[in-house]
Amino acid sequence: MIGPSVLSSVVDARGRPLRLGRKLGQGGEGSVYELPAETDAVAKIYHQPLSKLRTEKLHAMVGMRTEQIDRLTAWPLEVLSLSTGVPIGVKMPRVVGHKDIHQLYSPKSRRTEFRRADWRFLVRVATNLARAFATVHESSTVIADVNHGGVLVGQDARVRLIDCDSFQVFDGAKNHLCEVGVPTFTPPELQGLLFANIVRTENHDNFGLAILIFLILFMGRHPFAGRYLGPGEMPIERAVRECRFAYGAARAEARMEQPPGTPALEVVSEPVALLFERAFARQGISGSRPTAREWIGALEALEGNLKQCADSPAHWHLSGLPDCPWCRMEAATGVALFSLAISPGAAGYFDVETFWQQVTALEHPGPVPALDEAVANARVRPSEDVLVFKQQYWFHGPLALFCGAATLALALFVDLPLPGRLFFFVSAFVLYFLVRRNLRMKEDISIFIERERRLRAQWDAVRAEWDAKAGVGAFDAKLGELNQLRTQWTALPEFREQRLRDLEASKSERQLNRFLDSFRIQPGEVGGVGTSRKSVLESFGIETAADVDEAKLYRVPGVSAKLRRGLIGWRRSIEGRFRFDPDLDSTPPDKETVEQEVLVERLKLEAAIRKGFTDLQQLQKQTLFARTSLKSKVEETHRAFQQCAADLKAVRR
Amino acid sequence: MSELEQIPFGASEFAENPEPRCPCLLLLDTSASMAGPPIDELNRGLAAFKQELVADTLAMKRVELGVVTFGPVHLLTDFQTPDHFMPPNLASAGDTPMGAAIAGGLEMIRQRKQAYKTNGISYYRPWVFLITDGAPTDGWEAAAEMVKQGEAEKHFSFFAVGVDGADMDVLGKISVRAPLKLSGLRFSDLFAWLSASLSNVSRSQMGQAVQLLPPGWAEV
Repeated sequence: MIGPSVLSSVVDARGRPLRLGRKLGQGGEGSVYELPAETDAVAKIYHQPLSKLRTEKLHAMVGMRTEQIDRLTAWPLEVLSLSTGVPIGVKMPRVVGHKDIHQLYSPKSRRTEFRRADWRFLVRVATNLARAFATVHESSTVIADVNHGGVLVGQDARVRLIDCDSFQVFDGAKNHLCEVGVPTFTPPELQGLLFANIVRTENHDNFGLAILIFLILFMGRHPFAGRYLGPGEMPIERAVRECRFAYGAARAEARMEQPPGTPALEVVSEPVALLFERAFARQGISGSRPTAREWIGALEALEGNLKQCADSPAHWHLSGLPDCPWCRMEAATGVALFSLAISPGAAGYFDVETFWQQVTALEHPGPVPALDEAVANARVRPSEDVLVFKQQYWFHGPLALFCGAATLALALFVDLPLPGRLFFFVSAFVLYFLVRRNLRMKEDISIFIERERRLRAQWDAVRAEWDAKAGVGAFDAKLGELNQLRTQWTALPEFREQRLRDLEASKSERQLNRFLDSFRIQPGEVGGVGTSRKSVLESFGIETAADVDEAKLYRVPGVSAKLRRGLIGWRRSIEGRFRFDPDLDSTPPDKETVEQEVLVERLKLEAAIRKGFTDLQQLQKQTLFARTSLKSKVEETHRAFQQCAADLKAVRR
Repeated sequence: MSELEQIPFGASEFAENPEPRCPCLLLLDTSASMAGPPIDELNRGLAAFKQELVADTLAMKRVELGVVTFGPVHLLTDFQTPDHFMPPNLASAGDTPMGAAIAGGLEMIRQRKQAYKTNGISYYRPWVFLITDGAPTDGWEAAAEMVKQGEAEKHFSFFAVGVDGADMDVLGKISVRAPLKLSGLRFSDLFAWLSASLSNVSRSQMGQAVQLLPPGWAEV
């Protein structure tokens, strides 16, 4: 590895010492440093000294530079060495203000990172990307490792290709190969191969280019990521290898379906669609994939044939389509595809009724499932413990029986007068029960009582947990909350009307207030108010006639009753001059405040509805999860409790 | 455009973010023995975990977190990207029903993968992270079997981390990989490592083995 001491001995191509600044980033191969002396270049210093082959390649690249290449790529500017002459790095242009292309093609990050990007912008970026590819290809270079990390995009839709030191370069005599590649951008014929000895071609690049263009135009979707209708797994790499283009005309034969809620291939013009078909078809392997130049032409034509959607100014789409594909997609998914910043004043993509379809589609967890009925109603036999217990006190029963029986024998077999017989007869039963009871008192059943008490407490706790987690209380409460939000959202127009009516109702008052506000308290104008008193009043927020108010004046120290009367009288006299003009409309700023207020309210409600729906989804999952994960515990606890209860009953018998 | 008519539930999250997903399931022990410093450190670690994932723009779109706590078993959050993930304030209580937590968690993974497939979203092999300081108080043998089978079929990668007091023998029987022992209460280091590893995975290629960073938080 290169240590810090070495970093101070870096020299440029002409052998002059090069001072490195702050480290900007670090990758697998090396680190990138600022150059304090140059604002438009950076230095990439490799972790290991460069091999001879690598150095040759970089020198070759430096020699190939053209103005056009410099504009479209971060091409190596010169090779850097250590003062000992060992090549160690490369100087490259610094690309400022650009972002990774994945930030652009995913709708979620596009909304925040590319606030001006509509579909026109996306088509333009795709065209610019094709231009960059064409430029590189026309200088006998192959990008080879095409991937989403190698393209940066500016806010003006211009692209820059970075990581150029991995390009495959032909220096007139030989090819300097590229040893890496990203499978999702790798053409079928190269899938699974080691790149070390493979000479990459433009046709290979053209596959990666088509993938990138597809990602840009189709809302970040990979052309080979679809629903596979056959058995088994279908990762992207396999779909690529087997040429299963999920949006293509031949998708049915490939047993693929495009993912739900995605735009169909028809959203691009027919020529562009045909280019995609050619790029992803098996026939493309033989070299017939569309070139970067072909893409430029077709995409330029597409850009010239776009129209703005009548309903949402943020939507641009191919003219001649029956309806706006982005409206359909947004309505179907409830997701904003483009930044709202480009559609000020638009109704917005959010439509509560459409969104509500998702809410209603979310399956209600249903009532708490009844616990196993068989368990609940089973007659539980006393356990082994009870038998042992009964054995321990086996003689109690017979003993009581004996006492009773003996007395009964007296009643039956001893010759006694009838009252005597009757006495013994009754005594026999009394004796039996008394002895039985007394003996039972001596039996130690506390262990069964204690056990039953503990299990009952456990069962109560578990049942409470079951009701709380497996029940639908939380889900229903959240759904109720969402319903309320929906009602509020639907009532927004009325809310707005109400605010405007309020505005109208308070018109006279506001006119008066404005009128009063135009009279400043001037020294000398009101008796007793001089310059110093004026500034005291000002520090209490009393500057104009509109501010003069009995309660306010009380709070100001040193204002005598006389002065107070004077000020209020002054205000009254001005009020007397005021004439209400009903024809004077509420001023635009007032109305704007209302509109702003309504907008804020709407956005707040939308955010709350989205958040509430996410919470609802979580609650549904949590409930269903609890029902499966807690069930056995609940049933076990219930069974254990029933056993203890039965045992207790048995020993008490 | 007939495909636009039928929208299965849950499609919107994939429409706005069609990036490949890298699901990570945390199975966290919140049994009574975790009370005090362990649970506090765990909470702190989780909060830092979110911050670190959110700082990485690609990981923020690709990594999905699901959390199941046990003691008792509870689904804290189903899989969602880190920006939606709210670091919880976990409290400790109850026993250690590890078996039920694993079984429930693996079922969540199965359902999530189904959702990816339905919506044409590709995904990396899910990671399951079990963190415990005790021994299971329920039947764990069936769960161990599920882990073994899932690992063999490459359905997920299962990692077990034992905090001081954990029954490492049982963990060794549940996890195919050797369980790791957290040194002290270095939860923050553990989650920093996990977020860095997930960032690496989210940058890697699907189907390729990712070189794991050395776990500096583990006892050797």
